[in-house]
Amino acid sequence: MKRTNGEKAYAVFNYIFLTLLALITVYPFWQVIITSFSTAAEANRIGFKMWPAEISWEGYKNVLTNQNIWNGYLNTIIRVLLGTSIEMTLSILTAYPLSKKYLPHRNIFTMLIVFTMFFSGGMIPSYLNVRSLHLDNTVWALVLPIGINTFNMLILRNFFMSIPEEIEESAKIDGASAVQVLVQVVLPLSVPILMTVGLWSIVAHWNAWLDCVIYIRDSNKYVLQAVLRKIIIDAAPQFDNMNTTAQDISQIDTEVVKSATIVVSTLPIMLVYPFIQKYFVTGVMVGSLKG
Amino acid sequence: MKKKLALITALLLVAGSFAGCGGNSNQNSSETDSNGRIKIDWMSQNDSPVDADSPVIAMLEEKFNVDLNFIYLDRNQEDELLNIRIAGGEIPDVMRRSDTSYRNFINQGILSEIPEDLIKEIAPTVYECTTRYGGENLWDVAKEDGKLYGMPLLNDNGRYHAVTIWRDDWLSNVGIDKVPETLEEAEEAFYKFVNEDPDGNGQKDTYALSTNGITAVLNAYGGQPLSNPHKLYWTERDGEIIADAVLPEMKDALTKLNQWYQDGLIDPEFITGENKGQHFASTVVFWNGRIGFSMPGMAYHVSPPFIEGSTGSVNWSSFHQMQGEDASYTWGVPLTGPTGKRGADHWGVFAGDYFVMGKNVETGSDKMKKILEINETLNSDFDTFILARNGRKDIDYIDDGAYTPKIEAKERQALGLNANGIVYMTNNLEFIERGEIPAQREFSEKYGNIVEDYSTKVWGGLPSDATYKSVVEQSIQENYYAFITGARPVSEFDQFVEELYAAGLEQLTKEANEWYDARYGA
Amino acid sequence: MQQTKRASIATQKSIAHPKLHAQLRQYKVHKALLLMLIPGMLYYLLFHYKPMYGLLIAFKDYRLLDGVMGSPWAGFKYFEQAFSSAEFWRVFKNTIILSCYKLIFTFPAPIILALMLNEVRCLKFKKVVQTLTYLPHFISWVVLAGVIINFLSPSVGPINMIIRAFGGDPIYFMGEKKYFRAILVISSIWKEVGWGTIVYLAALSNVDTQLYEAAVLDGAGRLRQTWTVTLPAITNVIVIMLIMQVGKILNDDFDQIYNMYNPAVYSVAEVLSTYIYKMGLEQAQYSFSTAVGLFKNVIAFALVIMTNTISNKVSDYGLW
Repeated sequence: MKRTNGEKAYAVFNYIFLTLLALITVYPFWQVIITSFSTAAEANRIGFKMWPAEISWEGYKNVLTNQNIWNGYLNTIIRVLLGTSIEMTLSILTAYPLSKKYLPHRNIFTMLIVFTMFFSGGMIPSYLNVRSLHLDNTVWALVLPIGINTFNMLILRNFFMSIPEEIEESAKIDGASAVQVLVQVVLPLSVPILMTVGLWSIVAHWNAWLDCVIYIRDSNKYVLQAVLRKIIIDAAPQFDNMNTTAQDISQIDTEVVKSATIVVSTLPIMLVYPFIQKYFVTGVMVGSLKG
Repeated sequence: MKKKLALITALLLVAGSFAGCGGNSNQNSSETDSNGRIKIDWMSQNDSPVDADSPVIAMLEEKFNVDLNFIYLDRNQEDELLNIRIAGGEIPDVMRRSDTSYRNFINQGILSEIPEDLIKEIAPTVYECTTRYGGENLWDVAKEDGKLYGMPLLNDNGRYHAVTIWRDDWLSNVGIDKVPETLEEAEEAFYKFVNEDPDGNGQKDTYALSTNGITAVLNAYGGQPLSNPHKLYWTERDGEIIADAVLPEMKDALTKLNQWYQDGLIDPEFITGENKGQHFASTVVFWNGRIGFSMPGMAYHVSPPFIEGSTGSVNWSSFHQMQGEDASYTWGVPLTGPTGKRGADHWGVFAGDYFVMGKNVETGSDKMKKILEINETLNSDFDTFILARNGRKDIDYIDDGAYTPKIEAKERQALGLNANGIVYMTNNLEFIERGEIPAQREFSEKYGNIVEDYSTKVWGGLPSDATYKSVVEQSIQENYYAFITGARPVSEFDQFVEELYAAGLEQLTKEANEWYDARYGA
Repeated sequence: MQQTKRASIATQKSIAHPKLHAQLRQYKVHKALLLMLIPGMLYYLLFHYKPMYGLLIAFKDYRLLDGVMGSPWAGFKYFEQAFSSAEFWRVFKNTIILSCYKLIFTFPAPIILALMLNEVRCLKFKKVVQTLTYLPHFISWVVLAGVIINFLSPSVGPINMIIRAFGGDPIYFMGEKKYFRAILVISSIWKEVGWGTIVYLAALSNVDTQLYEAAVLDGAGRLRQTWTVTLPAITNVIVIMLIMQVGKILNDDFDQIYNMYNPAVYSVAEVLSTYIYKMGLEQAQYSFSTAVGLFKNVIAFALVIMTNTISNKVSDYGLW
């Protein structure tokens, strides 16, 4: 394929622009990494730095020696696996029927669902609800109340709608049931969007902490983010506790600990993305269309 | 279309039928545990949960023959989480509440009445200490419609006022050998801090003061208009309660500050905070050697180390970490203003906090008596107080007279130890004094007990707070900053005062006067 | 037994209601689909509609111990309290202005980035850029705000270093009203543009490469291909995202603003969520904040219905 001069110029511009953008967006994260490796004095120095003056592991030592943190990781992984499986299953089961224009009362179902995106009973009724179902202080309180993310489900539904009806028809003629069509035809065609919604769900569960703080009472059931919040609170200067002796003051700098917790909590979730990226390849559907 | 409506109605009805259930089922937890000990749900003031098998708590439980169940609510969401729990019928037996929340809880019927006579009978030391340190009428102040629902909690630190700090190395570099005491002297030093290169680096990169310094200057003019956390301060003037922010002398203060801002004395980045988003008493800008004067907090926020091996307060240690051991700061006095007034922020021994019991603790019940008994012991028995506050000798602390901890702060939190002894329990300020090294107390006395104070005369919630308070506070901050930077000319100060009254300060002032009269008499 | 009884009722009724009969037939034909829908609908019933009674708090003087049903009615007291306050309308205006800026500038950003990434032929480069741009999504506003304040600082920030290098006077971006909204918009693009791209990239991977080949045969240049092939392929997603964005017009980003604003910019930066937060600090203002929330969401819902209707007419895409 021959490119015109204009196209070449655009390509050059494109590469330069994207490189700059990547540099700008990586900047805050880089700052966090620098701070996480800083000594307390360095972390508090006002100024622009591109590199830590000296490397200190104090922040990481403080975070990683916390006895609750590994437990927190475990609880978070359980939550993510369970929560994402539930969300994906429920979302697919809901999105697929709603993607069919011939589904009876489709608009009413959709309306009822969209309605919940804007109106909710609020925190206290939700808490009472979870309690009356005896879900509190269990992982179910963290995964069931957000069993479907309506927005994600609607994105999924719209993607299903864009799959040409003929593909499904041909499967139906071969005698496949609705479930078989969904599992054998529709889902394989939807891998990129399933990956996207899956990633959203994983990240949402990974980052959530407020529901944990509300519903979970035993600290050994705390998820990672809740544990990290507490580590940060612990690292705050202790001088708000009245009448402490001078020795009480924590020698760990809050800013350093805060940054270390971000790195510790973000690294694992960062590794998920490149894995998902490989499914974003143009033309997934082409092969199946031809076949 | 009708069909659709019918279907929607049907679905909504189903949904509605759920609505009734899931209300408030009071958790019918039994009053005693399997050993027959009274169970007490105690809302912890610690920063992290108390270990269920903490040996210190076990010792206290044995001593009082109770079963203590500590409830921890995430510090940053505490009020919200507490409300959620209460809505679910779980009311902690023991809580600490601020005045606003205290009155609100009384009106909502969440608290149990604690008769004054019962306190006198079971907790005479608490009663006596509260009266001695907090004032004769404090018990009356705490009452609502003649009934008492909580015991005022005293704060030893509130006895002292905020402390100013100066870079004394800078002072001597610019040829001043005495720490300034008046605003006039300070002004001279401030100009030199900016113009005579006090840090000797050959660059004009120093300022005199930032956010906290501004507060100190306003104080010198006789008011406390901008302060956290009680932003709205009230003063008594000619028998009337008036907001500090509208005092006429504040106009002079702002004129002076505006002049200084133009002359480059004030760090122009004071708007984004002297603490750079960290703890309120952390003066990050001062640590960085950008300013030479501040008033970041109380004596214990700026104190040096008092014994071997200690690092001093956060401000002390951070400052030296960043500026090296050759740099130094010293402590000053609140500046005397042009009218001869001087003062500094003073939280007050009683800042409106109460020790309360949830309504599940019935008035006069054994449980209430037990809780009072615990409270009394922690106010009258020094050994128990130390056990609850510092833990076990040689295990949790060193017996060096200063009760120096042997374990880290977070371990103490997990043990259930607290600076005041299992959660905010002592009004016996003498115990607190006995529990610390004399040098520390002398320091507070020397620098934090110099002058008449500025403490707010009204600390309780006012009926119209919800409607006006945030608007008024915000307007004060916004406009004060605008006057200082010149974004708004100071000549419009009177107009600003009018605006403020119109925005709701009028109603708040009226209520503040009523509040004050009702408690302290006209 | 139950089944036959119901069926017989249905046949009886069907004589009178032929339309209902037809509908029941439809239900039978699509039984499998409807069965699939059951778990999801149960979920919505149990976790959304069941606690929905909490909306009544807006019309009540909510007392924690009495519960929602037991609390006394307050009528429209809290709505009046909100609407009668000048402050409320000021922050309402701020919220709308900010949302409109975000709709105009923040919303298209990830689409443009996705299209630009789509043009990149070097896969490795593409992946690296994607991964880097999505990183800031994981940094909370508390931390990011500190980074931004430092970044824009007149004394030590790199932006002002550049300005000074070119002989300009440093600008205190965070302390001036006229810059603050722009800072909010740009920083939210900064934080979320990479993350927002993902859904468009997923949609783009759905484009049939044959379409490009056909376009090339027709002599279409790259720009034209983007216009005639790529964009139409993701219009569906764009429309949905746009409708949802319109629904968020009264939802401001509390964490962002709360961590970034300061007294000098209050008059432009105070928005509904920060306002409610401050009101709520004073006392448990459940009724008040529920009322404001309800008001917000009624408007949002109406806007979504409106946008959806327009979208259905114009583009054939919509939520329903």
